[in-house]
Amino acid sequence: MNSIHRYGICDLVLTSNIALPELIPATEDNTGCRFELLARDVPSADGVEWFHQWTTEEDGITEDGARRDEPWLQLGRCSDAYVLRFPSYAEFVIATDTNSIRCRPLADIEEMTVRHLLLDQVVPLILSRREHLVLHSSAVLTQHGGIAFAGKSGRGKSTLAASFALEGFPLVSDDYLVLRPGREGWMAIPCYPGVRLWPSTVQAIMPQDLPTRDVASYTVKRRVADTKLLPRTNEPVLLRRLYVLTEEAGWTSIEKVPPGRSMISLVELAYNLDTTDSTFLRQQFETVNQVTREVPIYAIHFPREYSALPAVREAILQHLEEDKDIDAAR
Amino acid sequence: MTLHDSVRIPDEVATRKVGDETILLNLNTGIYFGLDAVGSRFVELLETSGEIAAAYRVMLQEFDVTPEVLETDLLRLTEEMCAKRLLVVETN
Repeated sequence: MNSIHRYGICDLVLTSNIALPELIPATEDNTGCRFELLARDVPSADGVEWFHQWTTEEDGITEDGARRDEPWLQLGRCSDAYVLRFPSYAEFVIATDTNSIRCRPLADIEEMTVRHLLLDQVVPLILSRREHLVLHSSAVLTQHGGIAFAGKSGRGKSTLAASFALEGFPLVSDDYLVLRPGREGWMAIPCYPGVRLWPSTVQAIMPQDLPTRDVASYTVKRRVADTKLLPRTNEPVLLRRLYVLTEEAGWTSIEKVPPGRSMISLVELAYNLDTTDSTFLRQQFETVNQVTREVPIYAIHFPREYSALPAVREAILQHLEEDKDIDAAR
Repeated sequence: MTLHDSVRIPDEVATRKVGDETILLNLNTGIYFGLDAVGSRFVELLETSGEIAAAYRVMLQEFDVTPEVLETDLLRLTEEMCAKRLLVVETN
């Protein structure tokens, strides 16, 4: 494990002592965060004060919706670090300044699972401390700018984003989205290539015999990372709209979310590594308030049927076109 | 809880007026709460004096509501917000 690899993810340069083939190698030298996979016999972090736990997680849910009973993720703090423990898999120790991550496997797990936990669970939480806002959201680029699909697990963020990407709309991110203020408005920062989809989704919307990869040992989800099939953008894009994916409906409808409700939605959908840090919470609250004021937020209801996806895409594109001038005048 | 109690928004609660609504977030517990236009007005008045009765008297003039209904609604809202640590009762 002597070689050091360097990658980019959401503008973060991440060095690693293991290869992370999901990411694009970085050409810049300015390392933002160092990742190190440790041996299993390295002792666990001592003196951890546990302050939060999550009991379910999208990738821990089977395709039929069954959920795990045990805690999925425990968050704690020790003297100079945060500790994220996925009890069945691995423990990640993150320096308080988020400049380093050390991972100790808790079981005989495959490196692929470590990579998934790192890239799709730990990194967004780290970014929540480094960036202005990180949301549970996928995003694509349209002719009118970036549009984000935000929502809780299982609401169809990845499916909708993949559906747009298959039609040539470049992917900005899958599952988590970094937002940063720019000169013209809030910018969506591209993440890394590909999407994670249930096998039934791959079968329904992707070309037959498409090569896909495992995501992790505990989920049947598939990673689809063919950038010819799912184009992506490398550049930050202006976020034009944010659609909150809500309950299923028999038809597609899009409605403006009142400002207060928008703010609550974004608070609910924001990543937050340390829910006990009141200074950070106050800052995040203010950021959410700014985003709510500057980015039009809509609720979208649609049928969760693959055959309906073309109509859902069309409704969204039409909505973008019809209300373009209204939003420009805000 | 009665109209004669006084309450205040504790320091650990951040508030933002968003349109007609107000969003409150308890920074220690992470609990947040959205108030409609009526609730927003109540909190706005509480921020001025802290006295529930003072807010009640102003709102009775401003809203088309009976005294009984307004009293019940304000006390219920106050109790709910106190339970969520978004308001605290002044002891003196």
